[in-house]
Amino acid sequence: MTPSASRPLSPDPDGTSACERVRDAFLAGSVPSDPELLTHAVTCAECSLLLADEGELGQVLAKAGPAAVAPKWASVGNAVRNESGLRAWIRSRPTRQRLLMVLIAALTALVLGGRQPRHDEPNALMLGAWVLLFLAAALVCAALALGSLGRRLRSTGKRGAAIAVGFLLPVGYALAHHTSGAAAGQPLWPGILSCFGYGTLVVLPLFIMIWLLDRDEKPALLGSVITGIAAGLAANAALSLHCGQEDVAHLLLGHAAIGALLGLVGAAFAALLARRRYGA
Amino acid sequence: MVVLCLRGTEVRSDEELMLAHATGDPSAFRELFERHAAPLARLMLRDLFMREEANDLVQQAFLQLHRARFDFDPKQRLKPWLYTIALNLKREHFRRKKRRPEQLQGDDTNDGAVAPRGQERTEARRALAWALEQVPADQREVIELHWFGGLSFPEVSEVLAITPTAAKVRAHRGYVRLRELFEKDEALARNFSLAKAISTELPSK
Repeated sequence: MTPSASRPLSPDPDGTSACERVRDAFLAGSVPSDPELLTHAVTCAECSLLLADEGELGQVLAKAGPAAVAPKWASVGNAVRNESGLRAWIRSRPTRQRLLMVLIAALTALVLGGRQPRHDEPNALMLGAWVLLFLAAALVCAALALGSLGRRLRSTGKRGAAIAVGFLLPVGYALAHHTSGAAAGQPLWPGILSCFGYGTLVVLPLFIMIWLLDRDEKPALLGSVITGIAAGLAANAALSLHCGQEDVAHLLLGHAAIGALLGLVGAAFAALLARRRYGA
Repeated sequence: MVVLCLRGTEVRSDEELMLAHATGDPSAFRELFERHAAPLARLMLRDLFMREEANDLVQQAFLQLHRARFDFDPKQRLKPWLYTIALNLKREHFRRKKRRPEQLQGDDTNDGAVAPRGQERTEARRALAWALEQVPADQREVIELHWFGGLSFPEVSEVLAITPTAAKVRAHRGYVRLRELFEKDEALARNFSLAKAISTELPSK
């Protein structure tokens, strides 16, 4: 039997299609007997399966679902009434405004971070391209973390890809800018710790901002990791304006590792909140 | 925008209610909740089997809907959006708990109805739940949204970001698979017949 999916549904005056009327008749406890529905079933592969053998499958499906008792309004009503204060206001803003806030926070981090420019003379075009790339990736990650595409089911694949890009982009920058022996004779760790601390501090407000804008009662694990990754990408954009170091160890540990650290902080934060809620 | 008229009383559509809520009508959100909480809880309970968890997710879904009220576009339908929020929450819930239960647990899903053959009814439901678990996830999801969530095929397609054609094709394949399972498995078929008998005997809730 071939599916009839390509056929248009036959709408009722109230907009309910014939397929839904067949289902609703089963759910009401009877096998559909309306001549119009039986005529529909002749040409509808799905409904004919439901109606076959005296409506066996339809009757079983009608009874297969659990009869749920709906939650009480009181708890939802209380939660809605308790939605007040700065965080409630900020996360109820339309998504475009929330993303604009993220952009402003990211640009602020960039301006603050790049306030003390690097001492070398980099290729301005290349540097600008990297900064834009970091910023764009940070915004995409922030949008994914905030579930800005709220009308879509959250895709683990897309979020996984965002995490991978968030890790790989700074690594790519490090490899592209690595010059062997660049840091020869200079102590490595002070510079790494300095950039790591500086970059982390500069994007901390952005990290907190994305968390404040999240509408989830308890932040999702992957979303929280991506929040950290987004902040890490913004930190790398700021540091690329601030630091001219070309040693790969410095770039990996002092710059790229910020996203990893903030991603871990985000994951720990989400796990902690989930543990509090579910006691697991 | 659809406005239903029943017995001379004007019933506001979901979209009108959401718009009213966003503009400060205090009763509109409660009306939306009362309209959709039960089918949503039914859909959640189908996978979770724990009434408390299912109701908790329904409450969270409505809270998120409230937080997103200024994002609402009256040109789009509300119901698929609400169900998308709920499904996202359910998936996150399973991710946190690192499990997706595969069978009914205890009596928690018992609807509490006074059933003369309560144990048999539970057995039948258990068998049917098992059968649904054997259906590929993408097909099962369509069947669950359509049958237990009360969504039309176009609404299901919006929630799953597929075409209505694809939704119907998945439902069709799922139905075929269910029938095959019942034909192959004698024990299941017994429960299948039992469920059919029960469904004939007992009035729908």
